[in-house]
Amino acid sequence: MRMDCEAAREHIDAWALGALDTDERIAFDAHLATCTACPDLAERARDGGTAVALAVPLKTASPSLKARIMASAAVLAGVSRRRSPWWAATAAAAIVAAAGLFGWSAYLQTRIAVLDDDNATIVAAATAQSREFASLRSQLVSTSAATDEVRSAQKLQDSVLYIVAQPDAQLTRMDGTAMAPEASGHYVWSPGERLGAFDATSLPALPPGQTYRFWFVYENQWLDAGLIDIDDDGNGRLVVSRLQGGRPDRGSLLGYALSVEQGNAAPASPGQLVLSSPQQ
Amino acid sequence: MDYTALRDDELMDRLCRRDLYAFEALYDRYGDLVYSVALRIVTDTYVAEDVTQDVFLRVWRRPELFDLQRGKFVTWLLSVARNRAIDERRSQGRRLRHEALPSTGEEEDVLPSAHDLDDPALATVLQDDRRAVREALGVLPPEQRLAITLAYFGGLTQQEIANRLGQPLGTVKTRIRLGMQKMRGALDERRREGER
Repeated sequence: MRMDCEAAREHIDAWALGALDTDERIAFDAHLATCTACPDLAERARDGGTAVALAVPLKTASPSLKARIMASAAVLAGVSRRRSPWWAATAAAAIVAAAGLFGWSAYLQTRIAVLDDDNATIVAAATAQSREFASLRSQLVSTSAATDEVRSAQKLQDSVLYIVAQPDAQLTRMDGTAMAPEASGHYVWSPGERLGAFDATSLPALPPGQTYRFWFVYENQWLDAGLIDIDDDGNGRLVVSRLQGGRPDRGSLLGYALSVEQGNAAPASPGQLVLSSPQQ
Repeated sequence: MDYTALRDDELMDRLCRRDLYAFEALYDRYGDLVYSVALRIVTDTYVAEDVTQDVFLRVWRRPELFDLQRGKFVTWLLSVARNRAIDERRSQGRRLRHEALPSTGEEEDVLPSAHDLDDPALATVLQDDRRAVREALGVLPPEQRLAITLAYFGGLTQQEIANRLGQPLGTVKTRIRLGMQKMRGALDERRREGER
């Protein structure tokens, strides 16, 4: 297929939108390479094509995405800076201080890659063996669900890293009670971001029907911050963005606690404590 | 130094000298826009975040690929983002060829709407451009707008659009050509009004 100027100009808007098929695009590009007049028109058309992107409704990317991108860029740059910005702290934390957290993150990434590979393998097998399609399809659904679960955990981990990396982050240590002497935890609060992250390790597994719940302990009120799930190693995390139900007369904040509760419903008062901060 | 006051090309100059603060300023300025374009194309927040990360790290690794002589930075950046997202969408299509592809969302949400235009992080001039494009698209006949939307956000060729809509190929080509001409005309008119 060959194009002259007239044909090229008929195709120019579709080219700018990326809507030419392969033969048309090759012919168009070949014409552009030899023509003196059409390239200027093509640039203008390309601007028009890209302008369509500006019409997209604006969505807000998660703060953890920025933290991830900046930390990656800092790592690529070698983190040698004249001052120490937050992303360098994030990168440094990723490399050194929070090696454990990042190891977990790397583990999750690996799991995602493995599960993605599983997806691809299952899809390929389904194509080759149509008689097994129904059962493989159901496997694909469950593998995809597992991938989503791991990705959710990854996002939670990213959020915790983001909060820990804030320059105004305040750390409160939490110790295990007699019920769980091996357990420990931390609560990190960033006043600037108004975000908090709770991280616990070595929590004992709970019998079915029981749950862990995180509390803000005020002078006159225990304020429920939400449930946490733990993994097989007894690790649990929670990101706290906004608490509800606080009374005006709740008084000063004394510390934080983790309790064991029956079921998922929020109790009026905490059950048996497994972690508490020393201030209480 | 106030990086938010620097122009895109000034930030890109600094990026070539491996200035992370310039990189952060560019992300703050365009991160949500790139993410929004990616999300519109791939329709999955996790994949859209991966695409956004890939696009910005590509800018960080190879800033010299941007050529100021060939146009504005945002035009180049959105072009990179769109191409990367379309690649991902096609890759999803291959992986999940037995599943229905994500909807292209058709054209409804590119109509003019006041509530989602205000983002203080975006440069004022870009807010004006966004408003102008949405208004220009909004006055197009729906069938022209749909053809443009399916091409740009759906990554479909004219033939694929014709197949999907059950319309002759020539009709789709005419809709795209007329729609883009009208949109360019409306943007040019608005630009001239702004200069008066």
